[in-house]
Amino acid sequence: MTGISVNHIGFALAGLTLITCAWSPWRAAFLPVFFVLSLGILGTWLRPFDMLALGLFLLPALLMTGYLWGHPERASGIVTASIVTYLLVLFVIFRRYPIFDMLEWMNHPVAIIGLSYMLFRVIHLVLEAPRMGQYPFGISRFVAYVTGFWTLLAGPIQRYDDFCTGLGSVGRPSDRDAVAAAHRLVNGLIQAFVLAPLFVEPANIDLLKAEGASAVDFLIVLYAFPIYLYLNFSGYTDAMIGLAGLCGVTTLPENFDRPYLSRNVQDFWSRWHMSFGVWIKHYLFMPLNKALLTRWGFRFELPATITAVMITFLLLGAWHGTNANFVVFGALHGIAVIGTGLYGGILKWRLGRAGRKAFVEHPAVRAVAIVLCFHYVAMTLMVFNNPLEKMFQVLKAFFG
Amino acid sequence: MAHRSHTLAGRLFFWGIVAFGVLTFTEALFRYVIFPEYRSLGEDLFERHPVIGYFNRPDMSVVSYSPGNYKTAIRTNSLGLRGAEQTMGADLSGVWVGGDSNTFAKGVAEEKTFVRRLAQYGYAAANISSEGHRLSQQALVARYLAKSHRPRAIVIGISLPQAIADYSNEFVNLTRPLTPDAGFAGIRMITPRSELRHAFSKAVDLFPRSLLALRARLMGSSAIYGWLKVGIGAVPWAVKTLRDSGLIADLELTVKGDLNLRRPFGPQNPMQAQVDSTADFAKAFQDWTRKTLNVPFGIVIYPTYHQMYPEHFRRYMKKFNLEGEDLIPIRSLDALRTALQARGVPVLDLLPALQSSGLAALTFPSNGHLNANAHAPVAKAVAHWLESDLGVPPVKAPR
Repeated sequence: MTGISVNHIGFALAGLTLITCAWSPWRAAFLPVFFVLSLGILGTWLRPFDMLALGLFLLPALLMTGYLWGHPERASGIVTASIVTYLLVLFVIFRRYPIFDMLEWMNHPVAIIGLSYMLFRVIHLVLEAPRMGQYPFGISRFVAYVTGFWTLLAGPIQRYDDFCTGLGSVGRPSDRDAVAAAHRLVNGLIQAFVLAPLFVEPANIDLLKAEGASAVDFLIVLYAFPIYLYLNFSGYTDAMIGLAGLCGVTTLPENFDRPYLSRNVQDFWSRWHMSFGVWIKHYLFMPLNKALLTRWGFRFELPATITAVMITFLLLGAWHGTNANFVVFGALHGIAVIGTGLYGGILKWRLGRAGRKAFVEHPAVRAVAIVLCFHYVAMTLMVFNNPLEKMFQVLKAFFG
Repeated sequence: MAHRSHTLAGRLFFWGIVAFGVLTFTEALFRYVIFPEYRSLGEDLFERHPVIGYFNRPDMSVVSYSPGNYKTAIRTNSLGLRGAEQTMGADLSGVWVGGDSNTFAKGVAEEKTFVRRLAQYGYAAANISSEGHRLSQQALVARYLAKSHRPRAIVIGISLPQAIADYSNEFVNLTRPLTPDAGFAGIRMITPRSELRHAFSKAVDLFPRSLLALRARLMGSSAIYGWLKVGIGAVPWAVKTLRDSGLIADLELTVKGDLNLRRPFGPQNPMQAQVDSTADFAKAFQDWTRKTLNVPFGIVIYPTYHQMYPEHFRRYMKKFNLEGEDLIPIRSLDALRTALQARGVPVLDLLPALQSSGLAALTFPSNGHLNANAHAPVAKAVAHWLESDLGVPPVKAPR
C-alpha cells in the first residue's frame, strides 16, 4: 500500500454515497444512484472510443434480452446462439487474442475494464431472459447489473434474480448486521491493500536469477503468488460483500471457501472463485457435456466427459488471459480434474464406495491430499503468473 | 428493510460512517480543487546514486513547499544539479559551488539563489550541492563531475554546526575508484528472502509509531493535512500558538550540535579534534583540486541562526538554565575559520556580510536556512572573495 490514490477515494465516495442513500428515506433512489455511480466510475476508466466499443457490445445484448424477457416462445436456438456468438466474437476481438487480433492496426486498441465479467453477466441474462419474466427489467437495471461498480473488476458473478432480490432489500441493516458488514469490509480492505502487496515482489520469478538464491527462495517464489492472489482476490470480494451488506444487500454470492484446504483440484474449483465455477459449470460444461453425450452416445460417456472437461478448462484458462501460459494453466487444471475423477473411480473399484469414503476422509490421507493439492495449484499458478519461455529459462538456470 | 438504531453503539456507528464520508469528500475536494499540489509535499527530491551515494534526482521539475508555505519550483538537469539543462555546459565551465542545504536552497527560487546571482557579477556557476551533503560527499560529486568537466574554481559552502565532524574515515572519498559501491541497492543481492523481509519492514512502517512518523505519512498523501501545514504558515497567531506549544520548531530554542561548540576551543575542548578533522579534510580536498584540476579551491561558512542573532541565544540559555555558563555561539565559527586559515585553505566567513546587510530577517521563520533576501549579500560577498582571495576574475560580457 503506497498511499491513498484517486481510485481509493473514488471508490470510498461511491460506497459512502450508496450507504447514505440506502439508509436514508430516499432508498427508492438506490437503483438510479447505483446506475449513475457505476457509469461514472466506468467513465473515468474508459476513453470515448472504449465507451463506443462497450456500447457495441452491450446494446445488441440489451435489445435481445428485452425481446426475450418473459417470452420463452421467442427463445429459439438460432436466436440465442447468434447473440451469444456475437458477444463471444466481440470479446475475442476486444481482448486481442493473438490468432484473432484484428485491432493490430489501431494505435490505441480498445481496453474495456471489466469486460470479462460483463461477458458472463450478459450471457447469463440473454440465456435466462425467457424464464425471468417475474423480475423487473429495463435499461437502468440492465446497465446497473452489468456494469455495477462493486462487482465490475473482480466479481463475484451475481445472478440477475439475486440482483433484483438484493435491490428489493436495500435499507439500513440492523446494528448487528451493519457491524458484521463493516467488519467484513475493513477486513477485506486490509487483506487486499495491506497484506496482499507484501507478497508481490517476492513472487517475482526473476529473483531466482540472483547469485546465492536457494531452495528457500524457490519456495518463497512458489508460495508468494498464491498467497498474494488469495489475499487480493478474496479481500476485494469481502470488501464488496461488506459494502453491499451495509446497504442491506445480502445477495452477493460468496466466492471463496478456504480454497487452499482443497483435497484435489476438482474440490479446489468448488472453493475458489465459486461464482465463476458455478457459471462455467452451468453454462459451459454441462451443456457441452450433454451435447457430446447426445452426439456420441452414452457408450462414450467417459471420453465425452473427459473432452468436455478439457475444453472447459482450456477455455477457462483462455478467459483469464490472452497468452499461452493461461491456456497451459487451464490444461493443467483440466488434466488434474480428469485425474481426480479417474483416481476416484479406481478407488471405488478397489475399495468399494464405503471403503473409498473412509479412505479419503482419513485425517492423514486428507492432510497429504491438501498439501499435494496446494503445491500442484501453486505450481500451476507459477505458470499462470509468468510467460512460459521466461519461466522455463529461469527454472532451468536455477535447477540446472 | 430499514432499521433505525436505538442503541448508542448503533448511533455512534451511523455518525462514524457520516464522519468518514465527510472526511473522504473533503479530502477529494482538497485534492482536486483546493490544493492539488499536495503531492509535492511528500515528493522525494533525492535518490540513490551509484557513485555519490545520495544525490538530487535528475531531470526533476517539482514544486516544493519547504520550508513551510514557501512555494518554490525546483528543477534539476540531467546530472541532478539544480538548474536548467540548457545552461548546464556553460555553468559547469564556470565556478562549481557545492555544499549542503544552504547552497541547494530549497525554499529559494532558483534565480534568487546566490549561485545564480553570481552571474550578475560576471561568474557562471554550477550548483553542485545536495541537501545533507558534507565535505566528503561533495568531494565525490566534484570527482564525479571532473571526469568530463573542468571548472574555474571549486567553492564548497558548509553549514555549522553539522559540517564539523570526524572525517578520519572519509578521506577515502578522495582516492577510491569511482565505481558502484557494493553497499548500494544498485548491485545488492536481491533475493526472494530479502524482498520478503523488505516488504514486511515496509508494512511495519505503515503504522506510525510516533507523531513525527504520522506527520511524515500524512505529508504528500493527505491534501487536507498538506494544505493545513502550508497554509498555517501564513497565519501568524496560529504559528505562534503552535510554536509556543512545541508542535513546530522555535528557532531561538533549537540548538544543533554539541554544546562544547560554544565553549572555548583548545585541547581541553573535545570538539577541537573534530574542527581539526574538518579542516584537514578541506585541506585534502584543496590538494586534490589543485593536483587534478589545477584550479583554486575555497570554503564558504554559513553561520548558524544563533551566530547571526546572539541575543536570541540568551533566551535559549535562560530556558535551559544555562545562564552563568561560558557559552558563546560564534566560537565554533571562529575555531573552524582559524583552523582552515592555518592550513592555507581560503575561507569566506559570511557572518560579516550578512550582519552588515541591514536585512531584518536573514532566515526563514521556523527554519534556520538563509532566505531569498539573504542570498543577495551572500552573492556579493562570494563574488568579491572569488576575485580577491581565489584570484578568479569575473568574465566581462563582450561589448
